Order: sequence, then C-alpha cells, then structure tokens
Amino acid sequence: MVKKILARSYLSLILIIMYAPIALLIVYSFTESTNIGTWSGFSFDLYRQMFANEEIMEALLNTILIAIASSVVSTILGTLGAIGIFYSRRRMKRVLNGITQIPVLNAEIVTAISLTILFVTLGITFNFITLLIGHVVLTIPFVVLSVMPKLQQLDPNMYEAALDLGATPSIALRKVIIPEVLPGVLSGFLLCITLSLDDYIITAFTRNNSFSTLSTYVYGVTAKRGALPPSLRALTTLITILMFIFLLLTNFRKAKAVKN
Amino acid sequence: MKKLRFKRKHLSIPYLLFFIFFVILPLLLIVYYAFTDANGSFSFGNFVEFFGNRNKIRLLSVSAIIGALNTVLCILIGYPVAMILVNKKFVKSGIIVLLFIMPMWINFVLRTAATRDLLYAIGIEGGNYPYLTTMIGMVYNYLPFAILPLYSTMLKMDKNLIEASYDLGATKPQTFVKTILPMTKPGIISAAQMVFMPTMSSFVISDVMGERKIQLIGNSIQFNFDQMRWNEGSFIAFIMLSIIAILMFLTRNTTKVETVRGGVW
Amino acid sequence: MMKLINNLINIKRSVLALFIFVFSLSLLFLTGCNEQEKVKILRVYNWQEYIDDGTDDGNKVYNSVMEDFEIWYEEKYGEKIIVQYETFETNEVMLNTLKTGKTEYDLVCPSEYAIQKMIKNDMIIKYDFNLKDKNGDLIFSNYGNISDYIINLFKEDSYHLDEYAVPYMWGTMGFIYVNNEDETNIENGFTGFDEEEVKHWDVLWETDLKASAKDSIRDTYVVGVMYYYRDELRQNREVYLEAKEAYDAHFEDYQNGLISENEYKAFYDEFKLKQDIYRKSCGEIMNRCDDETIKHVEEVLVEMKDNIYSFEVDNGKNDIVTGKISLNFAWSGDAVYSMDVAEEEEGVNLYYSVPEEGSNVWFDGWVMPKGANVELAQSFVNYLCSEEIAIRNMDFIGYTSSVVGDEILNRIDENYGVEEGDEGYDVDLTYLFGSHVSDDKKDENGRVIVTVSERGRQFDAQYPDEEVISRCGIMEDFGDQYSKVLALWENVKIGHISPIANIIVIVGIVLMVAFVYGSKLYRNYIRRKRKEKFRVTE
Repeated sequence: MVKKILARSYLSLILIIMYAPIALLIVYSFTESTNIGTWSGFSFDLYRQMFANEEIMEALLNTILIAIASSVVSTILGTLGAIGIFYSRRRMKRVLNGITQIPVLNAEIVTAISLTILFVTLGITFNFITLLIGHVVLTIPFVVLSVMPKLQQLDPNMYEAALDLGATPSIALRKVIIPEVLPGVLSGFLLCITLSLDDYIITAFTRNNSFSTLSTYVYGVTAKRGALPPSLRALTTLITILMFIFLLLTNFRKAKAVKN
Repeated sequence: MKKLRFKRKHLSIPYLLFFIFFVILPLLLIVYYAFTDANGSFSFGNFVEFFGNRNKIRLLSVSAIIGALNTVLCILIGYPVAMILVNKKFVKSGIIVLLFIMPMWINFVLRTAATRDLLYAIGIEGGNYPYLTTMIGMVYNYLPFAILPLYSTMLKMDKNLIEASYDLGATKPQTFVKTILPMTKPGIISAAQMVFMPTMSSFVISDVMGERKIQLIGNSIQFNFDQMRWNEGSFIAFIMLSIIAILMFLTRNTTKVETVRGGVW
Repeated sequence: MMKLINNLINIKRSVLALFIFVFSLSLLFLTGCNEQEKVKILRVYNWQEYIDDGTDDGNKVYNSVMEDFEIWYEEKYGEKIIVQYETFETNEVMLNTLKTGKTEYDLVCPSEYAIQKMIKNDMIIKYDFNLKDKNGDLIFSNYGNISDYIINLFKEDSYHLDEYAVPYMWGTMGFIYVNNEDETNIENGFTGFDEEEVKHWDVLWETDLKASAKDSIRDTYVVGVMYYYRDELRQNREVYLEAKEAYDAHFEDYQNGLISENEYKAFYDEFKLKQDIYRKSCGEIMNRCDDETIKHVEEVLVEMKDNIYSFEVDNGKNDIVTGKISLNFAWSGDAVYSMDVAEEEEGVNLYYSVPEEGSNVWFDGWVMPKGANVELAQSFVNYLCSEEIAIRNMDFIGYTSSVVGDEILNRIDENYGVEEGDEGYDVDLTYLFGSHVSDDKKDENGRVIVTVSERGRQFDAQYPDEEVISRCGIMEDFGDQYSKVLALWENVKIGHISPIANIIVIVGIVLMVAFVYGSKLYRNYIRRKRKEKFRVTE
C-alpha cells in the first residue's frame, strides 16, 4: 500500500512538473495582463485576440495541414516499406533496417541541413513539397518501427494459406497482412502526428518563408518579444483541450476494445 | 517473356528509393561539403580549422558533457516512471503513459519558451544561470523520449523471470541488477540514443533557455549555415555523423534496440 | 533493368500509384513555382516589426500599409495586386534566403553593408528613377522627399549605393537604460544606471548582469572595438570639442555683429572641416579589423560576456520594459519603442544615450533582387516615401524615416514640442532637413531649429543632433577579414571554457570503452571457468 502511494506520488510529481509551464500559460490565458506573474482581472479577451490574429490562425492551420499530410504519406510509405523489409532476404533486410535507423539517430539539425543542401543543389525554390519531404524523413522510421513488431507476431502461414486458397498476392496482402498490422500502423500514424506537430528545426530549414507553422511563428515572436505574446497562452489552452478530448476518445476506444 | 510474380518484398522499393534520395544522398552531400573548400576543390581546411581550434574542441567537450548529463538525468528520472507505468498494480489505465507524450502536441518551441517564463517567474533567470536553465530545459524536453523506449521494453519484459529470480532466493537489489536491468538494456540504450545526440545538437533550447549565452555544437552548425559557411558547417555535421556511427558500432551487438521505439498507442 | 521494370508493372495499382507519387514529388517542385502568375504579387521581405502592419485595438481593425497600398494601387491602375509580406530577423538570414534561392522576392530591406555585399555578389538590380507607369507618369515622384544628407552618404559610398537602394529608415546605436536620476523613477523606486555611467562604453563591462548586448557579430564587434580604443577616441573628441567651442564663440560674435559674415563663413568652413576629420576618424577606428585588433576585441568581448545578462536578437526592447534588464545596447528605433511602451505600461522612464566615444550610424534601404517585378516594386517604394506613410510607419515602429519635409517637422512639434510658456531646448536639425522644408520653418540664418520639451529621450533617439552624428561612423563590410571576425564571434559565444571539460570527456570515453570491453572479457572469463568446472565434474 505504501509502495502504491509512493509510486503514484512520484508519477504525479513528474507529471505536475512537466505540465507546470503549460498550466501557467493556461491560467494566465484568462487575464489581459501582458506579464506572467501579474494578474489583472478575469477576461476572455486573449481568446478574442487569438481568433482575430490571422497569423496565428494561419500558422495553426498550416501546422495541422503539414502534420496530417506528412503523417499520411509516412504511414503509407512506411507500412508498405515495413512489410517489404520484413519479407526481404536477410542481407537486404539488414541494409534496410540499418538505413531506417539513420533519421532516428541522426541529429535533427544535420538532417535539416542535409536536406537544405540537397534542395539548394537541385536549384529548387522551397515550397510545401520540400517541407513535406522534410517531415516524412523525420517521421517515416517511426512507422516502420511501429509496424515491425506486429509483423513479427503475424502467423507466417496465414498469407500462404490465402494464396493456396486462390487469393492473388495483393488480395492476400490487403485481407490478411494489413488488417493484422493495423494497430501498429495506427500507432505509427499517431506518433507521426506527434512528431510533426512538435518539430521546429526541420520545418525552419525546409519551408518556404511564406509558409509559417506554429513553431516558426512562435520562434519568431519569442525572438522579438522576449516573453511569449499573451494570445499564445489562449492558443495553448485550445490545444490542451483538444489534446484531452483526444485522450478521452482513445480511452473509450481502449475500454471498448477491452470489453469486446 | 517470363512473367514475374508480385512479391511482398517489392513493397519496400518506394521506401528504399525515398531513403536513397532524401536520406543517403543528402548525407553524402554533407560529406562532400565537409571536405571541400568554398571553391569546391578537395581540402582538409575544415578539418585543420576545427581540430586546430582549441575552443572548438572544448565546445565539443562541453556539448558532450551536457549531452551525457542530460542522458543520465532523463534515464534516472524516466526509468522509475516507466517501471511504475508498466506495473498494473500501480497504474490501471494505459492512458497515463500518453500523458507523458501529449505535451509534444503543444509545440516544442512554445513549451520551451513557457518553461523559461515559468523559471523566470520563480526567480531562476537564464541570464544569471544559463547552464542551469539550459539543463532544466533539456531534461524537460527530452524526458518523453527517454520514457518511451524504456516503457516499450518493460512491456515486453518476461515477468516470469523476475518471479523466478525471487523464487531462487535473490534479494530485491539482486533481482534488479541481475534480472531487470539486463532485460531492459535495449530500452536504456535506445533511450540514450534518443537523448544524447539531440541534446548535443540542439540549438533552440540553448538559445531560448540560456539567453543566447550558451553555445553548443548545434548552435555552431546553425551559426555557420546562417553565415553561408556551408563547408565549415558541414564539417561539424560530419563530426556529429561520425560520433553517431561510432555509437552505433559500440551498441551493434545489443539486439532488438530498434524494436522498442514507437508502439505507445 | 528490364527485370526491374517488369517487376514494377506487375505490382498492384495502388503500389504503382504511390510510386508515381513519390517521383512526381521531385518533378513537382522543379516546376511548382511558376503557376501563380494570375494576380500580380509583390513579394516583400522586410525586418520584423519594421512597417505599420496593422493593429487591432479591440473595437476596430486598422489596415496595414501593405493593405492600403493594395487599395491605392487598384484605385490608381484598376488592377488587383497582392502584397505578400514576410520578415527576417538578421541581415544574415536574409542573405541566406536570397543566396540559396529558398524563397524569391521583389523587394528586400537590408542594411547598408548587406547592400554592399549584394552589389558585390551581383544579386540586386539598379533602380530606374525615370521609369514611367502606363499612364505616362513618373513612378518615383516622391524621391525628392528623402533627405539630401542621406542620399549624399549613399552617393559617397564606393559601391554607389544610391543607384541600387532607396533609403528607408536610419538611426544610431546606443544605450537605452533606466535612469537613476529621473524623478518618476526615483519616486517609483526603479533603479538602473546614472547618466554619467552610460556616457562610456565601460558600462557594459560593469553592469553586473543587468544589461544585454546584441547577438550579432557586427553590432557587438563595434562595442568591442570602441571599448578597446576608447583612449584614442577620447583624445580625438577633446580636439573636436575645442574646435566646437571656438566655433560657438565665433557664432555668438557674429550674431552680436562683432565679426563680419565673411569672417564667420571662414570660421564655419574651418569647423566643418574639423568635424569631418573627426567623423572620419571615428569611422576609421570603428572599422579596424586587422589581426591585432581582432585578437584584443575577442579578449574584451569574452570578458564582457561574463558581465552581461544576455545576448539578444530583438527581444531586448521588451526585456527592458518588463524589467529583465535595465540597460540595453539598442538600435535607436527600438529604443523609442521601449520608451513608449515602458512609460505606458510600467511607468518607467527610459533614456537613450549614444556613448561619447562614438557609435554606429546605420541606414536601411529598399533593394530589388534580380528577377524582381521592377514596376510594382518601385511603385511600392515610392508609396513608402510619401510623407504621410513615412509618418505612419514612424509612429508605428519608432524608427526614423529618411523622408523629411514640412509634415515631418510638424509631427516632431506635435510629439515633442513644448507647451506654450514652458521652457524648451533648441536642437539644430539643419544638416538633415536642410533644403527640404519651406522657408517659414527656418530661422533668419537659414537653420532648422526645433524646440523640444525634454532631452535624452524619444526625440533624441529619433533625431540625433549634428554633434552626435559627427561621432558616429558607418560600419563597413569586413571584407577579407570576415572569416576571422566570424571565428572571433564564435569564440566569444563559446566564452571561457576550462580545459577540464576536455579531460572529463576523455576520461568518460576511456571509462565507457573499458566498461564495454571489460564486461565482455569478464563474461568470457566466467564462461571459460564454468566450462572448466563442467569438465572437471565430468
């Protein structure tokens, strides 16, 4: 019992520390005060300011757009890649597994500048596609790494059985393998979204200047403002709420799955 | 003509091509820039400049120390967290682990700036203690990256072996050192890989938290690229690549390191 | 190869589609940028917060200058255009973007040295001041509004800046600080620095973590050079001050009718000559970057780094308002911004001072990168050069426009003039406004004198008098010494690092290798022993 309390309080402590800065922003999103630390009455004005601020809204939209686009591309390419890698011959498998590790282990800034050099060498004006490629490079290994374990759990005979029963390879793939690895794919997809939303360095290096995301926007304004601009506090609240709604949904999904 | 059958392994062809174009080719370009001068001819100038500069070597050292310190701190803090999280007695819902990852949805720059503002509000000022605030920022940011692989490894851990260890009369510390620790070794290595390099090469956290008084290897790369010194910047990037290669070589025998990333949801 | 292609053909459609998608990516961004030619777009790349970009006071949303230009242009030419406005934080970021071709622009606003660099690298095109629009009117109708003083400085430049750039904002660099002697500050208990302290560069070495400097090689290099050569600069100033004193006496004599106009003119010319020599000597010292200087500047700056609170990019102007720091080495326009905000929000009175040893005077100008839409770009620059828009921008950002004229004088009077009956201070701005204002704004000697209510604050930051300007030099590009200065800057940013760091790392690596191989050897040893044991028991 004591152990349980101890364990739980340790967990809570870490969580409290982790969420403290976010909580601070949320609390101060309900006042107009420009400085954190001085409370100047309750107000929803920052929310109005945030929604009226076109730059923030555009950045938010762009962030979501690139997160979804890059995650979809990564998930498709990565899932097929993972299946391909899994059924490759041993040597090829080792090579492919090896290169999958590169973007994970590589320093993000090195990945970013290497892509910059590539695009500049090719003489490309940076655009959405370059940014997309940057994010896909960043996220794709995590799809492969999420799908791989599910492939290992797969019964190798099922695919053969499907073929023996007359399915074409692609039907066998779609009806047998894909459904089995789907949880891994989903988990990879969510990991992609998370990483893409969080990213600053790759975005900063591979975007066109006219395409600003939340991270580049925030970096720009903190560089010139010092403290965070007040309307970003409201934005933090908004994202946190979305985040918890998502968490609850996942919770329900899992609870349902357990029941069934 | 002989008709070729579709094989599952062909599915990796687009993946492979993507990696060749956008991962391997760019890295080769970095190596190319690292060993050429501004006119494009082969040169060891960057090599000489880097290793001939006492300050650069010290910069590398300081970055490595901060990286190592952060790795140790993240694992020390994260290991118990992961252990508690996998223990059904303490945590019933798997959702709790997501709480450790969710802050990432609020952008990293935003979180870092918020941390700085919080620390400032409680009197820990970046200008006065730049290294302290930078370290706090690093731990704060990289802790989830350490918890994730540790958690995944522990999920796969065979609980029977721990029972067996107790049954054979081992004490708790003995069980931990002889059984649990070796079983979670891939997780620890993976966590270290996810924390060490990114810390060394981060420049945003040091800029924001340290009031730009802290320089890490990442700042140096970014600075050189800002100043259009691609060759010098590429050489530093090349050093980072070499360090990664060495670390990968050292941990090559630890199998299954790669399988413990991801798989939270 | 054939085999591969055959393989591909046989792969199911979905895979093939994906395959094509990946490849079309590469094709897409080779051609991707030429599609948006329907509505004319003016792509402007400017410093952050360097134009009136619209406000929203809660009741009403005010247009930005760009939006008003779009409206103005449509009214005038009946053609819809879009201004795509983006910002950069430093000249280097801007140069990087243009050089790599990451993003393309029609109009960019760099500082003078960056313009020199761009001319040298053949990145920008010349203005055509005679260009006519489709109605046959001259596009550049407002060029005459720009002060001759600034145009002449551009002309003097060896790169012929005037042909490539149209001056936008200009200013000095100096200290903005919380003044200990100000009554409001004393009342409210705000403490910072004394007026006497901030007259010299030394203050940055004695601030006890209360000040910040710029995170920029050039701006902070100036600080180091000025500090290192402070004795020489002070001596030059003594000489100049003597000359000025003599001249002031002669002027008084002339006004009292003691000396003739010709005699006075002679004294005036002599003084101007001496002032010019002084100005050039400041510029010369500031631009020193020989190896010896670089070495010493590095030493003093490393020392300075340990004494200041932060290196800042652009946030110093807010940090001083919130009280994080109480002195900042800042651009004059940011200083004005800080003074306004600090007064309004925190009730602190901030002051601006250009050190007596001398400082940096800078000019930003609009340039057109190669491939720019010349007509649209010039039209926009001309729009910015109208007095009305110049005032709007000045009021919004706090910087000083290169545009001068009657309306600008009126604005100075409105903002900084004295109330009826109050005592004021006379400031001579002839050098800047000279030939641009109508005669009724000048005094009987043809000088432009403005009477202001207080010194050392917003007005002085915006309009330095001739004496301040004469001790400010223009900082040039480092030229061949550039990479050495960069190395200096990196060393400053790295600062003092004890060699112990190296030792720790080496010890760490040795321990790690020892651990990895030691544990392996140990395992093998145990295994061997066990085997032996088994053998014995067998």
